[in-house]
Amino acid sequence: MSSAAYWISKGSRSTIVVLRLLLAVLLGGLSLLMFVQVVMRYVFNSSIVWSEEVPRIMLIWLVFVGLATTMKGKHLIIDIVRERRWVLVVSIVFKWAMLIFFVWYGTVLAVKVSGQTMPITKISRSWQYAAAPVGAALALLLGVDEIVDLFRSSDAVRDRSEEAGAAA
Amino acid sequence: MLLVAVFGSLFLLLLLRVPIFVALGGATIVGVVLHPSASLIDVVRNSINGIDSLVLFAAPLFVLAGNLILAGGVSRRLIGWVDLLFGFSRLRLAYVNVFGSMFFGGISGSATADSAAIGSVLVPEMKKGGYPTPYAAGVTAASSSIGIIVPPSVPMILAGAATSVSVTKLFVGGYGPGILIAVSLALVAWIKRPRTGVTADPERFSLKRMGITTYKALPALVFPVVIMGGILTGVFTATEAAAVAVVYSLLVSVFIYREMGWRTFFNILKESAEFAAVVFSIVATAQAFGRFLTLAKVPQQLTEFMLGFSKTPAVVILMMIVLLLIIGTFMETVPIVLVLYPILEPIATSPEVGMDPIHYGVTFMGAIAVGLLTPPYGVLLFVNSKIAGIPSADLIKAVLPFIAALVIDVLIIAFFPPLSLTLVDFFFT
Repeated sequence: MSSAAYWISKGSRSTIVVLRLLLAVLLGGLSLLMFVQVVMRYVFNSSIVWSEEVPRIMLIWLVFVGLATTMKGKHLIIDIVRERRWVLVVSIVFKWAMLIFFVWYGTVLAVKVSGQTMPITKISRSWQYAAAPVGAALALLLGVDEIVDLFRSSDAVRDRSEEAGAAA
Repeated sequence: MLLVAVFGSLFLLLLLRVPIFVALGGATIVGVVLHPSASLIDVVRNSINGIDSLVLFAAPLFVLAGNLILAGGVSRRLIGWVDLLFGFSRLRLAYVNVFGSMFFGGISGSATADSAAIGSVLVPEMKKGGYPTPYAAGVTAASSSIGIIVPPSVPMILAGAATSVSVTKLFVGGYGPGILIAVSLALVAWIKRPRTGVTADPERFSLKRMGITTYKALPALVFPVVIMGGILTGVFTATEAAAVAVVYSLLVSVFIYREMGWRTFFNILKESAEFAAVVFSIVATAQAFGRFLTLAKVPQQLTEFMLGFSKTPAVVILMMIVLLLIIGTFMETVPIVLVLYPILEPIATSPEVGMDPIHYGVTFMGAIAVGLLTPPYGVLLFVNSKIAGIPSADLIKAVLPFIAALVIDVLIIAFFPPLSLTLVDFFFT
């Protein structure tokens, strides 16, 4: 059992490393494309035709892949009730329910719109909508680690409740 | 009945420490299930469409730009330059903290980033200079709230995505109020100054020192000028300005200050991307939630309710501010903007109340800036008690007088429109 837990935790961590690399590439690429577009528009007075639709797809993927890598303790919560074991269990149950909802309806949606294309690049809209089920599925996969932790010890859980930087 | 179920489940989920994006999505699902003409697949569709917008691009790009330029070592140089202005005073570190935050607000889009940049440099230095730690942390926390008023501002960008308000005009509207808040906080810092213990080491002003410091800080000082100059002259949209800002910060950090290696660069990319994902996952489900509220005609009902209560503009505006202050005590700024900004806008701009949309927007931002500091949920309290290493209870006590000043500022912003609108009118008419 404990060796299974070890491999799950190790596997999750390496998956996160790879996914975070993908995030860096997406954000870097996004910034670069937007900048090139500005230069083309104002300096060369022309524009790259796909420079609006491709970044839009990239941003959606960035959000849903990031959703997966930040699943463990990095998402914003309201910190009024103190963390107890049962609260954590309830919170994880709702999180999973939401992710399964996104996998299911996201897949349905991605299949449904497969005939539609974006106006300029003619890329199928499925590429946009597929980010949701894929990202949510990755989040579920990485979430297994959290559940293993929950059964193993309550100490590890407590460590994680630390605030992990917040938006404002 | 429907609304009780929707908002009830939202608050219950939030109380149970469910991530905010899940709570908003869950409440939307509850509403959709109970509503006769809504479908579940639209929850996912609206979530994705909600983040499929070019306006929103500006947010992760400005965050990235701010992080890049700060990692390049700009904090110390910019603080050094602000110090030049206040070198004469015994309280110079406190003033540098306040006005430094204002300048940082003009670089980064987030208040927490400002706290981290200013606090990590100035709080230790203030401690060394004999200031009580809670005072030092309190000044830092209070002044970083300016970050969401002075452009670029992530909440303003989100407001532009949730409604049709022009992000550019909101940005410009934020300058006047930003200066007002900085001045009022400096005043409170003076009133509450420590009477003893502060070592006075005023530095004599010299032209030579001014030249050197300005030269060193120049790339950082130019940043807001490039960005806002581009936007104001109509050359860039807010999103394009953000993209230019990213490249500019990268060049400055890598080639001019030369303090950033590629490893740091990649880490910043990853951190900024995850930050964007955390914020945008909330944007996604909040947009679905907002769509549902519109379908359920909540904005109309709330408008009728509030205007039925009173038609006096001052009373309605006060009610809105009080509502935002109360919600700000326990809610994160991102969901407040996404959910409440579009709901309150029609009330504020209705003929009965007659606020200008930009004036409303700036007032809204001022009111939620207070929420960054008010317990139980004030993000800047967490960040700064951690930076200064003091219990948040001590920090809260030190921050109270600043909160009072901020509330007065919000009232001035709300009832003196020219403060926000003069610059907007100047540039856009």
